[in-house]
Amino acid sequence: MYQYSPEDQRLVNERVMQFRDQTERFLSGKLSEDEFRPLRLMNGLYIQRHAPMLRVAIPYGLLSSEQMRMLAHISRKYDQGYGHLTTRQNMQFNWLELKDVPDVLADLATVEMHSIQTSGNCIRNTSSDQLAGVAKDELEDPRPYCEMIRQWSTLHPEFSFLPRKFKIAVSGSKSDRAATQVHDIGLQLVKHEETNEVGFKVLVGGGLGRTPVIGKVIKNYLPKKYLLSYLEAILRIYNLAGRRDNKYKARIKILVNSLGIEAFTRQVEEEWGHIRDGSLLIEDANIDEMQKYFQPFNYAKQPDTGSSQELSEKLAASPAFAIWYRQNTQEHKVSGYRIVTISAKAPEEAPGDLTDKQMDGVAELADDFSFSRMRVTHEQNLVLADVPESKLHALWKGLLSLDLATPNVGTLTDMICCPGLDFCSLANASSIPIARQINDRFDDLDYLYDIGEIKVKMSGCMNACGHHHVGHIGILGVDKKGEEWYQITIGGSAEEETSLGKIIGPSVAKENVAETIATLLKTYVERREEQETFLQSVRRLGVAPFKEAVYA
Amino acid sequence: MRKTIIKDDELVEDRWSLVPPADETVSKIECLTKNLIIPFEQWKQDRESLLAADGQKGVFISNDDDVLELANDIAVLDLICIEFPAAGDGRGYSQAKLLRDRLGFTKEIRAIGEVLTDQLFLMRRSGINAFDLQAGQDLDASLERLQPFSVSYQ
Repeated sequence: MYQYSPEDQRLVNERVMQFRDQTERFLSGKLSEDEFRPLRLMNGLYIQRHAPMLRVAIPYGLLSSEQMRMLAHISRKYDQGYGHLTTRQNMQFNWLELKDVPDVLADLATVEMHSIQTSGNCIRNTSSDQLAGVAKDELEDPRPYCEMIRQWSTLHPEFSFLPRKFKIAVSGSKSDRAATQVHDIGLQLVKHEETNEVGFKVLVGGGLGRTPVIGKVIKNYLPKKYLLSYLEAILRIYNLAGRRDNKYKARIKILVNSLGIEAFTRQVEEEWGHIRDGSLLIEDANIDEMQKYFQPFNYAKQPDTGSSQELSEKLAASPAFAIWYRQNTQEHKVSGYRIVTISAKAPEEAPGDLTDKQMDGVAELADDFSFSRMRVTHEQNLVLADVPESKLHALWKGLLSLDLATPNVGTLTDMICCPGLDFCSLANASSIPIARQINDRFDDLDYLYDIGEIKVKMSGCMNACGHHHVGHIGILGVDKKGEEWYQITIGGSAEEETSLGKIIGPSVAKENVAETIATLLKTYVERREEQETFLQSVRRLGVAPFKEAVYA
Repeated sequence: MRKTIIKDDELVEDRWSLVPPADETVSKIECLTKNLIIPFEQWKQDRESLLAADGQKGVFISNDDDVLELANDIAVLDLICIEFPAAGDGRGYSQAKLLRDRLGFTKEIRAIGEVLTDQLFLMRRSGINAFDLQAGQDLDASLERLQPFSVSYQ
């Protein structure tokens, strides 16, 4: 994991001092509301329904147990004892007081954390694959590049007031778990066809929100040394030419679509030609240096037979453990280890919420069983990436006692869900009560397992924080004359073959959302071919049969 | 009375003034003798005669102007003034960067418009060295906040 240099630490400390000064000037009336707003937004602080909401950056989703304990401490001391995992792999606190925020930031700085650029029209936290470094299908660990991007983009003087927010994701595997095709810039590590050298495929202009667009390839192969100069060229063109007259048309996807990808590419390439061999050139030594922070752990050479024997016995003895093992763990690239997803989707809780006790508890389990590290997923769960098989049973017991062992990863109730009307001042409709409705309606785990892999994604407004466009089932809250209604889409996906969901018909009333999903699933069960997932069925059958069933 | 601006990290009296918009009474040569900052459009129109005249030369850039069009004038200009019509409009940062890095302009680049205390450090790091702050901003407080960071990544 990356460790701050003295300079990194100094920058974060100075950022705390700067924000303390700005907050004090605001509270004493020296800064107006209008002047303070962009300053607090640059530091992840929104004013929401109940209180200021602070979004803490978790760069590419990676956390140490020490950092997790600090998040628990913050939720306990300054908030109401819980935090919320976001689709950018960050954590939000919903009940802070403005006067406390500088102290919160100072506490965060003691564990190499901050909230720099977690909102505002700037380059946001770079997100990545939650299985980086441990996935079997990985070409190369994307995190060293994420960290380079984090540093390059932090307080970038030229790109702090872009036309709109800017999100970058990096993936290093065949399976795209970072949704790179729906980001302003998506970077995929790929091998050059002839030289076999690893570089980047660069996508630009993807995004969700009001106008969902799948990113387009701007560069099929970019040598690693040009990563930052190429990003800088794209950002400069966008900063100068992106629309600023209408915030709904200000994202880079609108610029790319209006110029056309060919013309946009030409402009970027021309700009890049001037800077590619300048100060942003990355030397091999820089890459080596950064990669040292992300080396594989010193994995034990498992005495294969012994530990797997022990695991088999435990699995045979406890059906509940076996179900959890099947559903919430997956293969690790090193034999003898498993990747564990901790479901933050217990049926009775708001999706993605963790209490202070759970945070402390997970930190301890990470210390005991997974090299003191954990990851946040964009699907609002946690991952312990390096658990020895022999420790899985003990880990499961620990998670059970924390109410974090719901065996529903990848199923219908493992939903992505934004905070919605209950917290967010942008929302048109609530999300959390719908999640509860769905959990109440689908409380039979065997039925969920029969349905198999399905991704439900829900947003309380068209800003699409809950990624509804790319849900196998997407749910979008809309306001109709003061009432909450829900538009349902099917067939979306953020994986390798990214697609945008299609609307099945008129929006449904709040009380009918779960029932509508039940009808969609019934149709799927009736029509599916062997081994076919819900998404595959929708792709084969089209929307029509599902639509007919729902509106019959 | 002349206005006070921040230039090269100090408070100084401004010796330039803007050509009032659409003021046709100001002759081209007067622009130069009176240290008037000439709008980019006018500069392009009267370029030949302005270049031939003596005097300090300053140009006013709007944020949708292409600064690279100044490539041939860099050597003769004494001041390039970049407009920030709103604090959140960040085009001027890229314009300044291009003027410094691409065109090699070394003289004064000045920010004007909604130029606020807490943005100066970013402007300064983009190559802007003079600030005509928005009315009402505390100049002393601004001066103290020019360098809130002792380190940077860029």
